[in-house]
Amino acid sequence: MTSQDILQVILTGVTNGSIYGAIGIGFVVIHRITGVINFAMGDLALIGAFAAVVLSKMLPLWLAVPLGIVVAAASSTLVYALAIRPLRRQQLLVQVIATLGVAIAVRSLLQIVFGSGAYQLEAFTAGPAINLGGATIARQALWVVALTVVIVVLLTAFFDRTMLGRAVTACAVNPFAAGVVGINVALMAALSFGLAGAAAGTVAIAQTPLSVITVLGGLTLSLKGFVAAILGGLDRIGLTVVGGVVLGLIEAATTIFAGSLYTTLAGLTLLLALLIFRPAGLTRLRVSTRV
Amino acid sequence: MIVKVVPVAAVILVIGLAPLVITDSYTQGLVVNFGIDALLALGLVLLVGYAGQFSLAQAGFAAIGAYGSAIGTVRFGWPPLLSMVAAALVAALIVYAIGRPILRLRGHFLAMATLALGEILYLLLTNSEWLGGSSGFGGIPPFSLFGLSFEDQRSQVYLVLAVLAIGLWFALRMKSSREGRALRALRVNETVASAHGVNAARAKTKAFVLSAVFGSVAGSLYAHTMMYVNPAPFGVMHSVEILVVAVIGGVLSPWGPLVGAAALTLIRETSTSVIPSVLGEGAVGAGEEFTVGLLLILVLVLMPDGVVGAIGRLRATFLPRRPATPAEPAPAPPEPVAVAAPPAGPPSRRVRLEVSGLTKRFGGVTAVGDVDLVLHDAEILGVIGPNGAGKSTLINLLSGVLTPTEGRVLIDGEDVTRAPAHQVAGLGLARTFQTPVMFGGMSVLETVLVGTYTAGRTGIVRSVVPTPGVLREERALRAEAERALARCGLAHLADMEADKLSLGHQKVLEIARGLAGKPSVLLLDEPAAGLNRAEKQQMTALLRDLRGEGIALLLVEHDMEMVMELVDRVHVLEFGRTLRIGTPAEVRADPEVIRAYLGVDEDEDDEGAIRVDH
Amino acid sequence: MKSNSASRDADHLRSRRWRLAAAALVPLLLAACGGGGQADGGGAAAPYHLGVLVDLTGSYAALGEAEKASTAAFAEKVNAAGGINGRELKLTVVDGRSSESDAVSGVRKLAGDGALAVIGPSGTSASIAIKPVTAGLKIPAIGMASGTAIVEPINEATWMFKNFPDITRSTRAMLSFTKSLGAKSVAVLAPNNAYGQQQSKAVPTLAAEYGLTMAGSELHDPDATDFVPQLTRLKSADPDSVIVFGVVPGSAVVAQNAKQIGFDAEFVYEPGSASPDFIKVGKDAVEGRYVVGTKALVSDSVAEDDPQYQAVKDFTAAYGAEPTQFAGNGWDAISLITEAIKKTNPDPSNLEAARTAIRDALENDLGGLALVNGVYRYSPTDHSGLGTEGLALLQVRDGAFRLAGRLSESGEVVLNQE
Repeated sequence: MTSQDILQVILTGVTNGSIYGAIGIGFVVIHRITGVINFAMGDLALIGAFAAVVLSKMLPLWLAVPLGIVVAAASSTLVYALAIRPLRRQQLLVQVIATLGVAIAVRSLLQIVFGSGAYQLEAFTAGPAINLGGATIARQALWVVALTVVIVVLLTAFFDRTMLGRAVTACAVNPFAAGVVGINVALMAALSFGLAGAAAGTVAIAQTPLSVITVLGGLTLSLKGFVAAILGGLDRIGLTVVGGVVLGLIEAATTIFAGSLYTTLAGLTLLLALLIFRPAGLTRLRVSTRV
Repeated sequence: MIVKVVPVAAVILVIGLAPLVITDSYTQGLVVNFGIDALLALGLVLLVGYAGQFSLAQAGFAAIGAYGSAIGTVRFGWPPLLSMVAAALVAALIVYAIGRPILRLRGHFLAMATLALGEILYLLLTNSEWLGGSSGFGGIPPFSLFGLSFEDQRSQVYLVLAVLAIGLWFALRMKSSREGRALRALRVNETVASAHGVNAARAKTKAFVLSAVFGSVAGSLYAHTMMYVNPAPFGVMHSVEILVVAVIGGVLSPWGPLVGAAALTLIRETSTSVIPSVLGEGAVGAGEEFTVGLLLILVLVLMPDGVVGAIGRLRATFLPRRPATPAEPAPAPPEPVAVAAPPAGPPSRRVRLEVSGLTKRFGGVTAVGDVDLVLHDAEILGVIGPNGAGKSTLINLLSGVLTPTEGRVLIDGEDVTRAPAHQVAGLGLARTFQTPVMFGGMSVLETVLVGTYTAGRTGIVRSVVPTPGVLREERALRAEAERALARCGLAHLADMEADKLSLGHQKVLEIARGLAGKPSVLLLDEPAAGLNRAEKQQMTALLRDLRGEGIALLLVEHDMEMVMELVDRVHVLEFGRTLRIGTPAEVRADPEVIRAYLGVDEDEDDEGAIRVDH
Repeated sequence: MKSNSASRDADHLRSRRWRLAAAALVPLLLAACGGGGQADGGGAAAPYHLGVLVDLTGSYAALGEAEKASTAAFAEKVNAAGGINGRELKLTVVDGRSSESDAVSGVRKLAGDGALAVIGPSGTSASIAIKPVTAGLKIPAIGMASGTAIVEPINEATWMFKNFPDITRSTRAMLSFTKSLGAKSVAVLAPNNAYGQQQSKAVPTLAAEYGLTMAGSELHDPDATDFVPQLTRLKSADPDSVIVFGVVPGSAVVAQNAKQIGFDAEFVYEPGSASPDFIKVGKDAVEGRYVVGTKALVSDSVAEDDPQYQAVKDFTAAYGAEPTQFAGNGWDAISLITEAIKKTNPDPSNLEAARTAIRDALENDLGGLALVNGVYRYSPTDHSGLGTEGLALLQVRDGAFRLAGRLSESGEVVLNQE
């Protein structure tokens, strides 16, 4: 194992970790505002990627990609309107189970339309992989990382700096009071689904040129994204990305040093251990341990 | 009684006849699959329906059962029954270890942890060369019991249906048992259940363990009917599918999984022929999954209690068991007959509750500051104060719902300052809530039976076998609950659904529920709020009776007329601090108190009140 | 399940009155009987009813979709030409859902519906799981999967056949080829499923036979789309060649990742990569790479005097594309059964006799049937039956597969002289 290999591990870990982090942000945004864990997050992100693939056949890439993001956001919002909103008077548990139904429906719908074959997208910028001290990173991977950073910056600014963002946060803190002061709680929840869809969709699209996408990929995306979200305490956007990168690095390092039989196992064991020993993840949030 | 006998007889009839009638191998196979799926989902119902949490590791527990049976019989040469039991024990142990820490948390943590657990089990099996990796291994003998071998398919139909029937019996018995009621109460409101002595984390862990045992047994049956195991059938998607079965059928009733499994089988069977004509040939497999996903959402939106829940509601609408409107107005609560007027200033009153220096701060806000109070036998202590004075916070601190920042709370001399609510309840302290909390789906009598939790001992497993001891305890608890109902004048409503009662009745019912645990101290959080004049009078009479029976009562109430008429002493709070303690006459004359109350709207909620989410 | 009980089941298969009574009593069984009525079609000559049990959902969906499409194309072609022995081919497609119990259930359903034979399942584990069921119901089935345990031991696989190229032979071809390139060490990359595990376990013994040392062996998640970590690990062991098991698109992404990290060992890919998608996804990363796969993929490779010529031509005409491994599997399986029907001309109304006749004909009467993926020679002791004639060493050149070498009888590569 040379230092080049170790650098390669880091580059791979950061790339994959950014993807996990962005999907994780999707979980966090929805959870913060509605309390729902959206099991369909990965599948909704994939809708965006498939849309971008289809659109890229008839439009230039620079147009197909943003439109794909819009499709992801719109689908996510639609899911809220059709499956979650009607359940607002039910227990949270029921809403969470409904997202499982959404996940199944979205996945099979994609399969009906696209079959189970692999789809690809042109790289955003053509050219060979970039050599960094002997290790390499694909140009597209830089896009993935950069876009994840942009998402973090934009969302953080939105929640902290804008009136609308503060209104959304108010709903998260106390929906009743938010309603009293005239904030449309349903609209804010729909907005949170839309933002989550856009964030997760963006990165799902950006990672498509890196390898391929198939309709089955949503579950894996959801699972990894969720680990990242837990590390971010299901609340902190920046820490979620840090969590995603931690997971990505652990996975890459496990593969290199212990063998790929243990890659997924390592990530899942981390998730289970976190839930048992540190449900607040990397944050200092207090998770209610008593009722 | 007939209502209970008919389904049981029907089940026996179906099990007895089904294998005779179903003679082709395909349908027999379907029935076996149906039975295994229903059993898996039944296990999930114990968790979702009774404890309000859901697991995505049910297929993982089935894997423990299947591989346990396979390893036991093939590798170790154990008899099938021993292998099945050993596997179930392993599943139970794993679940106990994971459930205990995680079930202390609220929210979706269990779903996530079980999702990870299921995947971990799946990967371990896939990676294990000893277990044949992804290819798995075969040669598993058919199930056998006392020399009886379940070799041909017909006997397997018997076997699976019989185990399913046992599981159903278990779940039905459990539902109406002491622990079952506690779990169902917990599902609706943990705070309230804890206030009646239920240890929420422990009860939920028990339900989780049972749920896993059901899963493991179903997995063992799978191994003995397939005679071959490999990891693929135990992936997370199968766990999701089991959840779908449970939700479609309805998670609140043990019959739900049966209906759900039958419905899903039906959908799968018909969709193969229907879907190609609707969505085209290409949609055979995916179209079916799409239907299932859509159906899950539709069922949740249209009938959140599943098919069985919807049927139950229809039945309640068209075949009410009791007149929907009971004879109103309710007869006045029995007048105290033998009990004489409250002994005025009894000489040797015992101190039941003693509080010193009690303080609770939320961040920088002091909700309760340095409060001392003493509550005696056969005494009513009124606690009054303007909104935000900390009255409800005080009750929450005393009942263990909140932990004090400083100070001490003693019940009968025992320090309970940091004890959780369920322990405090066990020491004879009961309470009511500002907004009455009814457990949806429970009758009035069942609701009060939840209150008898601390008086019983029977655990889940024991309650399933109706031994004389179990029956005796249940009879005793029932008698106690009926007594509490009668004392509060609600006996005639015993069979009504509790959440259909009027607010007035619900307020009284909360008191009855508290009394059922034979408390020595009863904390009442605005029992008269929202009641009309007649109801208030009845409430006053009831509380007076209770005092007459020696119970120590702490009454938080806004209705000054009622307070002044009823209580022995008044404790006035302002901004969390004690303003004055004295007899009603003394307090009424106190200028400070008058000032504090001036211009205060009496109807608003107290700030420290617990929000009760349904 | 033992055969005595199962034969009793089979006796009852056609007693539909019982099934109707069952339906009336237990509602859930209604569905089960839904398909029952289709067994005896009307019309002049009852059709030959075949079951297609392939995975259309779950992890093997990509295989099942290709298999379903090619069987459908075959049936359409045959029926357009007037059917077989004057009878139409009727297919019932059942989704095996990549699940063993659904496959078992599917076989029972197809048997109950009166299918004469079963085409499928798509996966090794499902094929192993249905083996005892086919024996109990006495219905022949051709599993389109590779695991040897599907047809071994042969006395348990009386009714079970398979048509996937024998693993050992294609692996031998890959190893002998790398040896001929001068490689001294070899590494393996395979998916972590039944197929990949079996492959990677078999390689060390075979490699030793060729005097190759093992430099590493990695398994990856079957659904993985990123192989940089695995390849980085293999790269650090510096093998001369890497044998890549697994199907497209994964294997094409392997090529891309290898190129990205500058891993310049000789990569050789197995038959699962023999698909136009390998080039479509892999693009310039697969240029110059070698695949051991179905030679039918190279349009001019099957000459007119080649025994497979007619089958490949028919396939391409009916399917509208060059055959891939899995589409070829489906086509060959239904061809084999149709051929057996042609030979014996069974009466479809006598199910038990017809099924027995088809099974016997598959085992004894086909005598080296040349089809898309190769030449099949089933015998009472060999239900695997596929030789290496159909395989060849392919190379990607200028974005298309070219024939680079043929395989000898024992599986050694004979390079083309150029």
